[in-house]
Amino acid sequence: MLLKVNIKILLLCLLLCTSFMLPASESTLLNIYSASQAIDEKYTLKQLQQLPQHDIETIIPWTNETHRYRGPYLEDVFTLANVKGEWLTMYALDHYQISVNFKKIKKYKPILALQVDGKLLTIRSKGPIWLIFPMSDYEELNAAIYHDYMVWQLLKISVEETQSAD
Amino acid sequence: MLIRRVNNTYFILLITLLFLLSAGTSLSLLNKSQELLLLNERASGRAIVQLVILQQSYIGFLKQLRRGDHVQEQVVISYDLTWSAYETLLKGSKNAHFVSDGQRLLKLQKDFNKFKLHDPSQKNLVDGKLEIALQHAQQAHAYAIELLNHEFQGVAQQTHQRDFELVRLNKVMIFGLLGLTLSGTLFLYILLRERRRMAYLAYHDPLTHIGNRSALQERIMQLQSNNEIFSALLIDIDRFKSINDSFGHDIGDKLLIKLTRDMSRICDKKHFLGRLGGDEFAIIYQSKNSVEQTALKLLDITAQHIEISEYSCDVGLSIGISHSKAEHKVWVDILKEADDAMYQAKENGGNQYQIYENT
Repeated sequence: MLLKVNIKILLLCLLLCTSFMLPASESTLLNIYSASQAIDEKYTLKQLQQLPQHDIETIIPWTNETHRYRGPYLEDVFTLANVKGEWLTMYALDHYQISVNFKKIKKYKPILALQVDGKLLTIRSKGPIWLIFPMSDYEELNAAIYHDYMVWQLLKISVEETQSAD
Repeated sequence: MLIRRVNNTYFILLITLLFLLSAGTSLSLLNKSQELLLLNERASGRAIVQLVILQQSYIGFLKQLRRGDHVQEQVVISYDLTWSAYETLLKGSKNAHFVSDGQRLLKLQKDFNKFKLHDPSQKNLVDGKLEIALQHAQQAHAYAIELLNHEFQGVAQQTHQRDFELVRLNKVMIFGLLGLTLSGTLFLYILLRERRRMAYLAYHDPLTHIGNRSALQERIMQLQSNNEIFSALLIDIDRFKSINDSFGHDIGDKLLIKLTRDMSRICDKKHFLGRLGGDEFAIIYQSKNSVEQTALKLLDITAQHIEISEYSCDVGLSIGISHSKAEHKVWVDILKEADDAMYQAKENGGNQYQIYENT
C-alpha cells in the first residue's frame, strides 16, 4: 500500500518535472525555410539533438579561449528538412543577416552548435544556436569573411537555388 | 687578362650585393604591406553598431514596461542580446581603434558592470529599480554612440594612413624590383658571356686562336657526311724542339703565332687551318687541284730564317697530304694517311711535302 503511494508520488514528480522541461525542448529553435521549394520546417532543441552530434574544439575571435562546441552538422539539418540549394540567408535574433554560398563553406563541415563545454547555449552566451566553423583546423578560416559567417543567435535559414534579389 | 679577371670578380660581387639588397628590401616591404593589409578593423565597428541597436531596443522595452505594458519577456530577451553584444565588443575587439585608448575601454567595461546589476531575469524591475536601470541604460547608450563615432573616425584616419603607407611602400618596392631585374639581367649577361667563352675555348687553340682538334674533327665529319672532295695537309715544324730548348718557350710560342699568321695568309677563309697540339698543324683544303701549289707556298714561309725578338729561328716544314676517299670510314682515317705521308717527308729530310700513296 505504502509502496503504491510512493510510486504514485514518484510518477507525479516525474510528470511534473517533464512538464516543466517540456516547453524548453518543444519551443522552436530553428526555422529552415525555402519559398521556392515550399519548405517551412521548424525544429526544436530535442529534434536537433536527435541528429548525430559533433564536437568542434576551437578558438574564435569573440572568446579568446578554446572551447568545445557541440551540435549537428549544418548539412545534416538540410538533409532532415529535405531542402536543396546553394544560397543560404541566415537570420539572427539580433537582426544580423548574411547570405553565403553553401558550396563555399560545405567542406569545413560547420556545426549548429547547441552546447558549449557541455552546457546549453543561451542568448547571453550567443545561443541558442551558433554556427561554428573548425577555425583551429583551417588557417584560411581566420579571415573576416569567414568570421561573418559564424552567425550567433541563429533563428532562421532560408535556402534557395539562386541568390535572391532582396 | 688578370686585371679583367679581378674586375670581373668585383663586378659579380657588386651584382650579388645589388641582388641581395633588392631582394631583401622587396621581401621586407612585401611583409610589411602584408601586415598592414591583414589589420582588419571592420568587425569592431560592426560590434559597436550592434551594441547601439540592441541597447536601443532594450531601452524601448524598458519604457514600455514603465508604461505598464506586459513586455517582461521581451525585456529579458533584449537584455540578454545587449549582454552578448557587450561581450562581443569587449572580448573580440583586440584591433579596434578605441582599444588603444585605455580610458575608453575602461568606461565601456564600467558601463557593462553597471548593466549587469539590472538583470531582469534575476530581479523584478519595478519603480525605482526600473528607473535606475533605464537611466543607466540611457547613459550607456549615449556613450556607445559617442564610441561609435570615435571608432569610425579613428578607423577612417587609420585607413587613410595605411593607404598612404602602402603607396609609399609600393614606391620603394618598385626600386627593389628594378634592382632585382637589373641584377638578374646582368647575371644572365655574365652567364651567357661565360658560356660563349667556354664554347669558344672548346673549339679554339688558346695560343694561336685558330681551330683545335675538336674543330678539325667537326669539319672533317661535316665534309664526309656531305660527300665533299677535300684534302688534308698535316704540317709538322722541323727542329721546333731545339728552338724551345735553346731560346725558351716564349720564343717558341711567338714562333708558332708568327707561323700561324703566315699560314692563314696562304690558305684563305674558305679552307680550315687548325693546330692539333705542340708543333703540329692541319689544313683542310677544299679543292684537289692547287693543293701542291699551296704546299709549295707553305714551304716558302720557312725558306729563310725567321726573326723572333732578335733570335734567328731556323725551322722547316714537313707536310703530308692525303685526299678524301670513299673508303674512309671514320674521320681520323684521312689524318692517319696524311700523318704517314708527313713522316715520309720528315724521313726524307724535312722541308718538303709528300702525297700519301696507297701501297
